[in-house]
Amino acid sequence: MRLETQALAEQYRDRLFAAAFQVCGNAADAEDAAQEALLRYHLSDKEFENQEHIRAWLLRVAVNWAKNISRSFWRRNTLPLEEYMETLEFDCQESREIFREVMALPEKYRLVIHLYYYEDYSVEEIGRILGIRVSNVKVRLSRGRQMLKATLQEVWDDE
Amino acid sequence: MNNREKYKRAFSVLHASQETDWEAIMKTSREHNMRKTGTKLLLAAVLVSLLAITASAAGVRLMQGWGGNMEVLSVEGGMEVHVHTDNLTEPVEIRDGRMWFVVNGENRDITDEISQTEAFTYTFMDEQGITHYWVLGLNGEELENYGYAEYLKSDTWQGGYSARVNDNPDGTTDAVWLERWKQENNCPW
Repeated sequence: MRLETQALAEQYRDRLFAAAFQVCGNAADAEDAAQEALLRYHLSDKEFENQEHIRAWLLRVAVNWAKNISRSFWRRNTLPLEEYMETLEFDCQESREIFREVMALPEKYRLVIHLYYYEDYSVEEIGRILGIRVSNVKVRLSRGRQMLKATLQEVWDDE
Repeated sequence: MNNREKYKRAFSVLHASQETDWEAIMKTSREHNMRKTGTKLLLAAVLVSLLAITASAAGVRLMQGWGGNMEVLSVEGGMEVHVHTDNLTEPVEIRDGRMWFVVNGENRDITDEISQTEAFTYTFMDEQGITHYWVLGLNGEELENYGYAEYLKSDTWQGGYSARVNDNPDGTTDAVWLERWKQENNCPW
């Protein structure tokens, strides 16, 4: 199965950006990672089982590309997170706090947190996307939740 | 509102730029197709760039690339750089139709992370504190038709080599994946 790249971009561009943002922590690199994932899809002739398969593939490519950017010695200067947050339109203070505390988590925790809470993936699906064992996903999810509970307190419910 | 709903509300503020650069994507796609039909026989070409010299005792090996591909030796009055073009240690293995990255003890399937336009990159620091940057890409449709570059960087020296790519007269290479990586990362070579 193949879908038009432009249609996929309209549907998934923001989600690819948000996932890559969890890795990079800045908009410019996240933008690059999202666009690279779509470009790779466009240039590939890979066949997919269904649209969910395409979505998971795009997310995996965007996350991996974002990791490469993050490790690059020659990465360009980017807007600090606090300054970038000033450009975002949160609808309430609680959202701003959650955003800030999630971005303060170690990258490996916040990426799992994001795929679980934002993309609604199961721990098994997250393991496949990130190429890690389900047990590792569960540990990272648990530790991420504990840290959010410690910093957000009553804003973040016990689970 | 539960945690999931709160999380989605908080991160719904993130939006990619509205204008996807489709012109750039289409241009890259056309370049990709042109290169598919115009592939030349690639030679094992190597270039070395040396940007700084620090005096040291003669005969001392100051640093080396992974696999011993490149050595930087101190000599009287400066340094010598040797790249073993006749016996390069390859950074990948092709097994069962997949490409495996084997530098620095890794055994990583990078088949889906490499193409003619996008490079796979990898960075590590060795015991001497030298940072190694690996850049790999494809020069054709077949996995066996790959090229690579390794760059080394220390406090006093930086340089590298590329292999299995062709040099243009203006100092660039004909490897789209490598030239894009250099441009995106402000690489000085």
